[in-house]
Amino acid sequence: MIKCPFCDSVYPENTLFCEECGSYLASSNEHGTDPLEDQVIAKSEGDQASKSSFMTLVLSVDGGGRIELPLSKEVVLGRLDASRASFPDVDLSGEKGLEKGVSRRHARITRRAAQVFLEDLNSLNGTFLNATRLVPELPYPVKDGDEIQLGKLLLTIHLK
Amino acid sequence: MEFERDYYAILGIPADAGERTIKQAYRQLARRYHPDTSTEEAAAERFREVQEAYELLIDAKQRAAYDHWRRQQGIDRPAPLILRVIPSQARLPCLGESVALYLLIELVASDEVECRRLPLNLGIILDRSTSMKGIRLQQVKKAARYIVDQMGPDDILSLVAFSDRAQVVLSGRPGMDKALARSAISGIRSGGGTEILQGLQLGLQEVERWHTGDPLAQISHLILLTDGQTYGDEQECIEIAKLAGEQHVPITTMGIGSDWNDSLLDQMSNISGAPGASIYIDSSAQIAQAFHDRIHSLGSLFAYDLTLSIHLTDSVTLQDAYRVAPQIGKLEFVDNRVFLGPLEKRYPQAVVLELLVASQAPGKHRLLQVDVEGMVPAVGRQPVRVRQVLDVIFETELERRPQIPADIVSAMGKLTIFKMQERAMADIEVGKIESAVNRLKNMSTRLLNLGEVELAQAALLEAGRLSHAGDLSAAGRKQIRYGTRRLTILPKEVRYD
Repeated sequence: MIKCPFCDSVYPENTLFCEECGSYLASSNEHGTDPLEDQVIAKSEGDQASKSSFMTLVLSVDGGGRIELPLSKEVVLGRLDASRASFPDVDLSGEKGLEKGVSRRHARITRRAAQVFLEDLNSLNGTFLNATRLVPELPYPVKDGDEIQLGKLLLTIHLK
Repeated sequence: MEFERDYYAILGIPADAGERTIKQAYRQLARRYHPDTSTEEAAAERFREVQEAYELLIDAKQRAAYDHWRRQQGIDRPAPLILRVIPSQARLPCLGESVALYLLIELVASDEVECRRLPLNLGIILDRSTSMKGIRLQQVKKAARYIVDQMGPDDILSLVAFSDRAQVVLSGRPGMDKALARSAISGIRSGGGTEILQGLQLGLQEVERWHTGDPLAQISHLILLTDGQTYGDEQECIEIAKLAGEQHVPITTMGIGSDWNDSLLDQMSNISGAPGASIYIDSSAQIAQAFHDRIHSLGSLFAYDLTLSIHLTDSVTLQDAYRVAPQIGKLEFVDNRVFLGPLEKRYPQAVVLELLVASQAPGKHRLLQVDVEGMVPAVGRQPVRVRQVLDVIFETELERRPQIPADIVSAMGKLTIFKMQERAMADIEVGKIESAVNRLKNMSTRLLNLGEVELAQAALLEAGRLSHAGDLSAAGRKQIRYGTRRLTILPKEVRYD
């Protein structure tokens, strides 16, 4: 017997799909990552470190949760809405995003070398950096501890 | 005269072998199986067979009779139907518990046999109720005129329009006057309610006038198009559809817009011998295309009255059976048989069987035998039969995880979505709204993974509507039901030209 990892339904061995949630059940063993040799991993880590320092973006929602994610190229903030094909990197619907006027694609945080920027993506209710409204589609530099506001949703930004 | 054996095969010679070859083969085999000298198993039996084959084939008169019989049986011609049985894995582990096994059964028309287009005896039944007024009726007329243009000299077309009464717009006769037919179509006016029974009865009557009842000489078919609910005559409509089926007049049903009864039209098509031939048209612009496709698909029918039968060995149980092409639909086996309907030249039929196989001792085991039988006009009046068997090998230790054929994974992925839809609809029927909402949401995610963005949106939208209002919208319900049906493993559009 095998169990669906997502909804715990039980099926006979070799079943392909879970009929409750539609998950593919045969994939678990098949697409596992092959371990690389230690040397290779160590080398590639060193490479990355020399090019640019690894940075983590932490967003603390005012009176809400904390979101931590690596800041690679760009991070889009907004609301998940599958029906409009909107899949932001940070989904704020769980933080009352809809009530507080967060657009589906509201703003993005980008990074060039060591500098981090905040850019409004033509959102309906605007993006604010330390209480100043941003001109849409223009990146503004941000630093650790800055306060940003999407519509009425207040966030503090931390960079590690 | 009846012959039971393949005498050429017994002697191991081709069917066009000359006398010398026959004698040579006979001498060799007779020596090998002679009961006095041979040590092989069942040698005496084999010897008798060889003797029988030789005596028959060496006698010119008897051989001619035998060859004639072979031709009649279609033994020496290329098989017109190709049956493929593909298991999800050919090697199974000895686990001591039952394992799931999927079988993809494909039925394809052979390239080596031409498709013979039979004369059509086509009846079209059009809804002209008040709701058809305007663009819908205009598009329907345009489609009807297109059909008139497509009719060949041997085809017969009749046309019935109905509201709460039915009338014959165009009475079918060979050698139709196309100009007259076009003007008769232009004269259809909208007005009145929708009583499908009225139209159906009259439409069937019209087709029956020229109906020979011989499926190898003529294709009789009804196309019913409606945009509304019919009240009180549902049961009688199904009775008429059943009657049509018994007389070999299948019915394609088409519904426009969102107000018609999809389960009624489904049942009518299924019972009339056209399983799955109910078509959803969500905007009037698609009417012409739907008629166009239907007419050309009727013109490229290759085989009729196909039935699939399976014989399972004791270790195997059938869990579920679905057709997965040309559209998805559940198959109900009765006495191990199921009706598959017609096969088009370019559209394969495909069926998925979901089996549960009990664990066996290591080694090769026969699981099942699949037979398909049907009529192929291009090769004559003898029914065509094709057969495949499936053996699997049980092993104590599988070397590595078996590769599952991509076609099976793809077919099962889509079939799973279809099943989730079926379950969601069943949940709504019995009032399990919350469960149905979850199923629709899960469905939407899976559809999005497949790239079916529009259908995913519809499912998500309806999930929202369901949780707020407690029911689906009429249009959404149809979009989801008919949309998941066409998630087949075939290329989405085969163009008829």
